[in-house]
Amino acid sequence: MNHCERFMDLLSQSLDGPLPLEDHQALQQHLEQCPECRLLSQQFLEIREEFHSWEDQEVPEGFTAVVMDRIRAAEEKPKVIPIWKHRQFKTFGSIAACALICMGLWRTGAPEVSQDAAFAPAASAPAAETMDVHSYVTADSAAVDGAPAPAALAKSAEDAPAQDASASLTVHAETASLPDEDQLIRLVQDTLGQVPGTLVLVDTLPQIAEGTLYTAADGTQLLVLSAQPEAGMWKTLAESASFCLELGDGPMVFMTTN
Amino acid sequence: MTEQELVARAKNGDQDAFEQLVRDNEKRIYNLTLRMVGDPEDALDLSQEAFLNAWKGLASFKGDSAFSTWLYRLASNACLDFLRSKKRRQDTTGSPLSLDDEDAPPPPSDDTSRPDLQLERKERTLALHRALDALPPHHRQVLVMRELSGLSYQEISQALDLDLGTVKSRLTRARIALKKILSEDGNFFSPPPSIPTEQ
Repeated sequence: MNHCERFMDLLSQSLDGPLPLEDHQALQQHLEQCPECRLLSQQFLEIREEFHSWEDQEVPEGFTAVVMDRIRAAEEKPKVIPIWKHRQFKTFGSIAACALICMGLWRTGAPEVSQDAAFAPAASAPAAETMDVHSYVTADSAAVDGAPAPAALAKSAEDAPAQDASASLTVHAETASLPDEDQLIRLVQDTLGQVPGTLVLVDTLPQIAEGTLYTAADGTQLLVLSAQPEAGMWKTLAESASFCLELGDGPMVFMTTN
Repeated sequence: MTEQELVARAKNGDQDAFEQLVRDNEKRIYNLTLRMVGDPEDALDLSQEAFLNAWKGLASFKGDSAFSTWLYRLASNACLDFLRSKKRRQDTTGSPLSLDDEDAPPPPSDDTSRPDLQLERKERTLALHRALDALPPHHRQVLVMRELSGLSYQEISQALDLDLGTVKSRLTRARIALKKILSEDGNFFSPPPSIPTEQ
């Protein structure tokens, strides 16, 4: 068989065009002596014949028009990358996780204000998981991270109603279900009085909420980030949050799971 | 206008020039993707995707090969990605690869006066489609380019970024693998004439 293998390439190449005279003679000589390779040669020819009998299929009508429409649509569309798909969005999640740890350490000893009544589940609801919410303006968090606060974030911090950065709220969320949209938006906007650009760290928000983008009636968007850090993605919190704000369609608030 | 001129204009953002390039190449690219993936709808998506990628990547096309060869490269790479992803999905769900009669292009419509020959012809065509579908994607790729798209060794070498020796040896292995699958299928090759044994 090893002897035959030497001629396989020649046999294959002979299908694609004439071989150099020396190769052609060597192959013919081998085929005369080897019935297996003669059979293989015949089978190769049968396969090629069948292939060549296949006719090209017509392209569906409007093919070019569809391609060009897609190109024109892509050219006209502003090149805005969805914020949750952007690499820096993930960076922000990582930074938020870092900030969460830092703030967790910081708040040891800080008094907690509990407002269970505001978000108590319905009486018939199954056993609920407690969700501790701590709010911090991003400018402050940036300071925690040691980076200078960008203008946009600093403005948010200045415009924010005066409040205790250590304010804490206990919210009930059913395990393994997405938090109620209105509940979360109200939590951020009304109860905590936060403004766009706020970073809200939620200790026990269900992981299922990660990546969810909530939009309130007034256009404010609330983004739930993963707290899982990714290697090599560490950047300053201020930088990432500022980036998210620039890309967002309107006011944004950020939350992260623990 | 030559292909080079059209490419030069398209590179400068001339969509009409690119539209002409699409028209000139749509049939060969669609047929390549159709032979690679088998399903007409998938082939349509993949071939259109190849043209979109060509438009986006025009700046990177240096003109070392023909524009059509570059398109073959984009389209066949898209097909390979698609086939790998499809295989992963099938590995996950456990559903086997299959080729329905509807997926296979119809056999040539001759022999209308001989239904038995038509049936035999259809069987052979389907057997070859099944065998092609069962080949590893990189084998299918070179075979389709050579046997169906009619590319030369040099063009395949440029499209796949392989040296000529690798193209030749890969074609040999692909043909042997295809022949093996067809032999096992049993519906393609005519049975060899029996050799009388001497008593």
